Amino acid sequence: MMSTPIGESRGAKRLILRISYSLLIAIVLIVFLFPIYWMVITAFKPFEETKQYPPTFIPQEPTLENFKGGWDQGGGRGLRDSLIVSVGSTIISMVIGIPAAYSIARYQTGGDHLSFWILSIRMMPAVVPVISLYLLYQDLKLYDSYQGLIIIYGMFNIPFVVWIMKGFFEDIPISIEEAAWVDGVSRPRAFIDVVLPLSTPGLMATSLFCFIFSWNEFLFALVLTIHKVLTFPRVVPFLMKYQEPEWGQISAMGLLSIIPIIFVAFILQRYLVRGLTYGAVRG
Amino acid sequence: MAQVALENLYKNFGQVIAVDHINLTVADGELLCLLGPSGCGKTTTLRMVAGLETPTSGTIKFDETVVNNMHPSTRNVAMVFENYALYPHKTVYYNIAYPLQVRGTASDDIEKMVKEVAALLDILPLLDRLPRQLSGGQQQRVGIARALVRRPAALLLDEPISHLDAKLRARMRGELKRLQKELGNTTILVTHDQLEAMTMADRIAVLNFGEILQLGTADELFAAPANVFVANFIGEPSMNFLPCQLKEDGGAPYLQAETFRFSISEALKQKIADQATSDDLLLGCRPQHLELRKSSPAPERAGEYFQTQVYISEPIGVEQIVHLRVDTDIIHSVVSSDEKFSLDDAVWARIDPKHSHVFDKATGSAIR
Repeated sequence: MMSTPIGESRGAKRLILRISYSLLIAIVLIVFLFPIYWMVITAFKPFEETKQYPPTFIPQEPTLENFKGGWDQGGGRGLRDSLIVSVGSTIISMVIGIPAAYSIARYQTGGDHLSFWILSIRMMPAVVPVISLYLLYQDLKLYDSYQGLIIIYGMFNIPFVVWIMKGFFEDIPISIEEAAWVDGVSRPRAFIDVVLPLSTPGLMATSLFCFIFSWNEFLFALVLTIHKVLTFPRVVPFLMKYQEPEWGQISAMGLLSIIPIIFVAFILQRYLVRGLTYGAVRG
Repeated sequence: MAQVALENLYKNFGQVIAVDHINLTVADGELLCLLGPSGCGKTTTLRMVAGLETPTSGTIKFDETVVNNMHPSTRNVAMVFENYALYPHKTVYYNIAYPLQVRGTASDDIEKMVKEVAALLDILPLLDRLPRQLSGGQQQRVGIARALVRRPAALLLDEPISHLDAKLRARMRGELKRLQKELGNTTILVTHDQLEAMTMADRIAVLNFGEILQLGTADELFAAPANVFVANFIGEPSMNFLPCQLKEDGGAPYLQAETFRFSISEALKQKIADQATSDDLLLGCRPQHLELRKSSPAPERAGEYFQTQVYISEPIGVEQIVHLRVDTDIIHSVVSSDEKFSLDDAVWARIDPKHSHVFDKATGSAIR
């Protein structure tokens, strides 16, 4: 710090600024992470301790009974059904969305109209079609079935896949594909050998997003299933008993439901690396 | 290796005619250059030969086979792209090996062939690198290696060296020409650089607005251009064009320019009379064939010279380019650097009649 009055105030000002930033960041972190922290500790507290007041911030008698209890009461089944539906719908979205995105990126298929129409599907709140879907599903015998949810989640995510992947495909210079054709491969093979590897960040991001959407989705699941298929968000309310909710079990199951997402995101984030095409095509 | 024949090739993009009924045959083993300014249709033509564009009408044949409807992957052509188009996510080795891999070549053979061609192009130490780790010149050589690693029916080069620095370009011109001679591939080279065309090609087709304006060897194009466009495009600095008209003075025909007369033979006068569409002509003379002298010429030779004024002089080593003002035009002369010219010097110039050209001003055609 300088000894002159002006120097001192400048240095002091910088210090105050740094402290306020840190404080702000700390507050934001606490606000966002506290619920997760609370859920984690509640998951390991025995039932009585969850009702304690003042509440304990570290479980006094950590236990795994909530995990077993919650699992048996439907949590396990909820996680399984969610997994089936999420994976299935992600596959559908990608399988339909990726070729559509390529078609629009390279050939401007359908012009602006088709692109906008696809986007508009996503603009619509889920609550708008849900009643008509209920009636339609009853007629089509898709009510309360895995296929039913997989189809609707898949359809709902296609616009997202199309829009993200279209951007990635457009970023890949067509001359690289042309080089592959001249080298002796068909269009589909060139797509697999050249285009897909170069758009891996996009593929990872969109599949993750589709998965998360399906995993968390509640409204369609609520209206379109009843007891044969129960995804996790549908199961959690059962743990809210009439007299008092089993907070421990709910927390335990909540914790379990986050884990697949974190796991998937962790694996995929390594592939979310940009800049693969830079430097290969000059001019 | 095959002969490539373009018959009445035509391509339009909506209102724009890119390629206007081109007829051309590239002999087996020949290096033919498509030369012209941007937008003249040379790249479109090349891409049609590759199969990356579909002709609107006309035929493309490799030997006797019509290839119009064949996908590029089945035509057995190899192409070096202007911006290299290497596979960014794979190593140099894989980039070069890919055309062999997709044909099911045994991996031992692949390794041998890749290393062979990499040695030929001096990129052996780079085989494990990724394209983004290479310099422009190295990337270009990888692109060439990828094209040469197999025996294509035709090798297509789309401005392959235009993005390299001047020194490297000069070197690669020689290397590419040598490679083509050694390997004997039928090659079509597209470029806008007339120097590249002149130094590398067996024959050159000069294009503008989708048409071939002249097809011939470098010597033919340089010494006997068929029209003003070719005469102007080939040769650096460009040919000088002086407007003039045919006149006669007591049985001796000559061309009357603004300030001087240029005597011509009876035979040439006859040709002009036969071929010219009007009185307006252009007298063409390459800067290399425009003689200069500072002192006035001997009286008996005075008729061959005309007066000019030095505008500026550009030294280029052994020679210099002298810009001269004559009438309202600036013409150029390339002479030895031994004599020095200062601004506004009065200089006598002489057109070498053996290397002069006459063009019809309206049509641009040469009169021979």
